[in-house]
Amino acid sequence: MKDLLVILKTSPYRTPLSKLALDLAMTFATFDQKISILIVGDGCFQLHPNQNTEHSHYRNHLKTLKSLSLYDIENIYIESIALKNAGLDSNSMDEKFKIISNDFAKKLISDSDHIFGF
Amino acid sequence: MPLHTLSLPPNSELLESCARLISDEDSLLLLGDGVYAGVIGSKYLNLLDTINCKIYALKEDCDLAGLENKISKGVAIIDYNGFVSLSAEHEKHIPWD
Repeated sequence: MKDLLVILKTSPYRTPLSKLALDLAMTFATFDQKISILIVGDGCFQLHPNQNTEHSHYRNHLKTLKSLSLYDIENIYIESIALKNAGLDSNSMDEKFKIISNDFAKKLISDSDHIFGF
Repeated sequence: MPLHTLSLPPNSELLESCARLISDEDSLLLLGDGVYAGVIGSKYLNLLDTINCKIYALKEDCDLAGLENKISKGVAIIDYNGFVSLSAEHEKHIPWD
């Protein structure tokens, strides 16, 4: 089976890109594909807790990310420097998420057969 | 004195350009993805701190982003009514996006 990687590098809500990334990951998982997600750059803005989507038509992206294990997506990686730049604390991250170095991220990219960037 | 607005996700180039061209008596409003520039502990707050004018962030956009309690004390949180007042107070507008 091919290794698929979705790279999430855009902020939530302003553009449809990050939602598309999550939808694509779920679609692949539904068809039993082996999919991982790598969160880099502004993609880390997805990880702020307390996102209030009540008064909007958006789904809460952090809740979606946390629920991806229901789709058997177990590999959600966050590049640690990007997390720090966004002002987020790695200790406060959900244990479902794997915080990785940029060397590990490079390896992940080179080990993947197909990459989808959003 | 213009009202500056920043609605894109912050990056160093953008914030440095802003900092060079904003006068102390101007106002800067962060809205949309611009609100991420005001997050305590983020890379961009250091750059935002070099801007000496009054800085505001739109409450609705902070709430959506989950930043209710994470915006620096140096940034005043305002709602849409505050946004209207700011617009009325300033004759000129400079969008940074």
